[in-house]
Amino acid sequence: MNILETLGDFGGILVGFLLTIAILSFVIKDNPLYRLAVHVLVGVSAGYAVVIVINEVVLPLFDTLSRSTSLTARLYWIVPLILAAMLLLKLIPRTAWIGNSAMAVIVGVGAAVGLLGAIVGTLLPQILVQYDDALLSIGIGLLAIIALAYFFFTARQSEQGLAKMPNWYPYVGAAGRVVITMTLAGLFAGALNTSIVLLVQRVGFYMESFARIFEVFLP
Amino acid sequence: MRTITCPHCKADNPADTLVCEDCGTSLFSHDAINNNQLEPDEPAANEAEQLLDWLKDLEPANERSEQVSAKAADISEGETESDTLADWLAELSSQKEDWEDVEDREAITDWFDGTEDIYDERDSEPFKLDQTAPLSEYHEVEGIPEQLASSDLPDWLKQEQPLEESFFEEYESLPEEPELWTDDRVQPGEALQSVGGEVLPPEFSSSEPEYKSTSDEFPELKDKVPSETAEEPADWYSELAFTDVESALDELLDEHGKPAGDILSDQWMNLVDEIPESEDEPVAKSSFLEETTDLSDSEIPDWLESLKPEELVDPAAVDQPAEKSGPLIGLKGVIPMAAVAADPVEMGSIPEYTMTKGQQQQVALLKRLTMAEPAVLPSESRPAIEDNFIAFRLVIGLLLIVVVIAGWFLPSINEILPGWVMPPAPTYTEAAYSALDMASGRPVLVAFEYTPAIAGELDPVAISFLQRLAANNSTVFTISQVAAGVPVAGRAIEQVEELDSQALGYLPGDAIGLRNFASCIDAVDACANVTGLSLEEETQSLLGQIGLVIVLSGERDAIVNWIEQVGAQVEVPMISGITQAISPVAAPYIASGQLDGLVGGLPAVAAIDNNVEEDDNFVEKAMNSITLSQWMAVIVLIIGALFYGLAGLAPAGAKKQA
Repeated sequence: MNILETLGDFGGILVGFLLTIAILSFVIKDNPLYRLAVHVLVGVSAGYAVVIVINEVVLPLFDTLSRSTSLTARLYWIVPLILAAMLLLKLIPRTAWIGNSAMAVIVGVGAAVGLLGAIVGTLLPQILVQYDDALLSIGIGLLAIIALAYFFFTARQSEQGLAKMPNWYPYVGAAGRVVITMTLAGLFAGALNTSIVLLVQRVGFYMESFARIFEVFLP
Repeated sequence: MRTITCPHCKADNPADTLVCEDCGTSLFSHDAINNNQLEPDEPAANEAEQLLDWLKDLEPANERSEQVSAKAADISEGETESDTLADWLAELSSQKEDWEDVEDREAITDWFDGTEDIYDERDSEPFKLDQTAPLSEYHEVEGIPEQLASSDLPDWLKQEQPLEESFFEEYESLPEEPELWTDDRVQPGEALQSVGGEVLPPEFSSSEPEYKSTSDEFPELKDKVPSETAEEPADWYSELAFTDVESALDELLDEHGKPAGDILSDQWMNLVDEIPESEDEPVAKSSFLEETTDLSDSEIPDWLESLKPEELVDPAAVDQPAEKSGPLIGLKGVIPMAAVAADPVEMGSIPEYTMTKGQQQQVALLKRLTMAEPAVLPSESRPAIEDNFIAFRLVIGLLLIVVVIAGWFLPSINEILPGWVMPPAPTYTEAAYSALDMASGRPVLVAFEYTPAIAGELDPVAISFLQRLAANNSTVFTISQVAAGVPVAGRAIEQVEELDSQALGYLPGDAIGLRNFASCIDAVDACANVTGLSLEEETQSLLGQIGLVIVLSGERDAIVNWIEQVGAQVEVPMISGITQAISPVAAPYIASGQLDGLVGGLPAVAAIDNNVEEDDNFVEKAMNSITLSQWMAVIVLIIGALFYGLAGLAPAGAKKQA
């Protein structure tokens, strides 16, 4: 590794390190450095997404159309192009209504696809799942019912005009609250572990990077 | 000697008498004047001038007084005594102070006392003629006091019907309509002096009633005015009119040597004394009053009877004792306080209020619904607490970084703790690597659905998978629905040597794009292009032979979309490499068999690496730091919970003591 490459890497690493410190400064409180880092992250991500879409979607599409010799292949892409053009017109307030049709197509088709996938890909398989352990199956089903029972907020009106909850609700609702709390605790623990892993990875990355640079300059 | 004929009994009376000696009828009547045929010195031939004089008499007093003073010197000797009539009346009015000293003042007729008030009212209120109101509503009708008019006015004047508009229009068209009865009238003293000095204003030269002259001057008004006007002058006017006043006053002056006013006053008081008691009643009652007094009790409506004061209904109530205390002090006939309210009530035991479980639940629900946002601490204590929080956060953050760095440099936990054993990899993690091995030699599709933000946890997983695929000689197709996933995939591919890979790039459209892409998998020559990118025939063929789908994601939606839209459409094994945060979300798909294997973050990779005994220095160091950090996190959480609990209990105890 020559010095120039090392200096180039060092510049990138240094910028990344400073941005990481700026993000970690939120531990103290919200500050301009943190906001600067967040804005840089959002801006770079959006700009990079635009570049990716143009480079990975738009340009290949026009390349395909230019190279296509059959009318059928070209007509196949005309409809998406028209819909895309209509969506672009939503940027202009006076012509925004033109893009409503394309947006309706996207939302409608997306909802239909999502609903179908949820039914076929999640609900039915989860309902038809067969556990090897019968006790486990019963336990999972029971806990699911208890958790759902916690959200039972319907009450009947008593003779005195008061809202009367079912007699089983206080016990089942409390059990459901425990189940939900344990589930959220598991998710929180997983999120905490992920955060620790990311911190460790970041700290290790910079320590190794700085160590590598020091090895170059201070052999 | 001149005589005055009584208009009632036709008896002759001396000219100096005011009432008839036989019947007592007042001789100051128009009839008496006419019967004696007192001829004015200036004949009333020119009735138009009389009309004007009469109207001038109604002019504002200031003008009138000026005219009186100016014309007083011009009064001729031939002017009749009747011209001094108004002054004589004014003299009587001005002497009311003298009358107050009279013992028998009560015997004076009420109507005469009323005239004093009438004059006072006229002095303060200028007359305004309302054409729409009935005549009876006026205090004065052409200068006639209401009480006088009601007593002796002819019937046509008593009518309460408003006159026709034409009459008022013509009346207003008369020249110089004067204002009646003003403040600065001619003072009675001055008038009497003038009378005594034989100085009389010329406006009294006519003995004819002014209203009669008016009707004569304007014959067209005769039709408008009732006929009684000319035929029957008002009685009051007839009484007030007397003949030969001047000569009578002269004779009185000669006989008694007193001023005429004093003599007349004495005579008037004599007349008052001679009035019988039965005549103390008003001289005349209006027809309205007569009708009112004649009303029988039965005609009073019940509602009006109900308003009658109780003392008038029940005279006994007046005799009841008056209230001596309380807010009704002084009132009679107070209803005594009810015995129930006055008697003391024994206070029994109040039934204890019980709250049912339903009510308690409802109260709890209402409290929860109405629970407001936590009260903001006072501004004085906030800075100190914020400073403490900042210090705590800073301390914890620095402590965590120190632990991470220490774990990086410390030896492996296995060396520090000889009995420490790395937990074995879960079965579904081993199943994931088994699926990799089963896809050996076949194309594998790897979806990089994560950004550089979580690359620290998923990059080791991806690299681990790619190394295993490279070892199995599998061709790798990379694809991503996240824009930033494309370069992440490229960097991961670069880190694995001898890996046959092909990037399909960015796949837009989320669920729709995945469902469309699913048709390209497990179907030979089924997909000519992906998202506009034309695929070569070899690529199309390889996509049709995909033996495994690997999804690397840090988001729940991404892994669920791949499972629902691709895994449910094709019969291709699918494994996933995800972060620890979403491992519980993907676990049900492991149970249902939709995922053939799952690798949950760096710890799972470390466990697999430990099992395969591969030396990965980075993973080993990272696991050291992760382990120490997790211990530190647990310790900090316990300390924080204890501190929070103790801090929360202290104020509660203090409140209970208070």
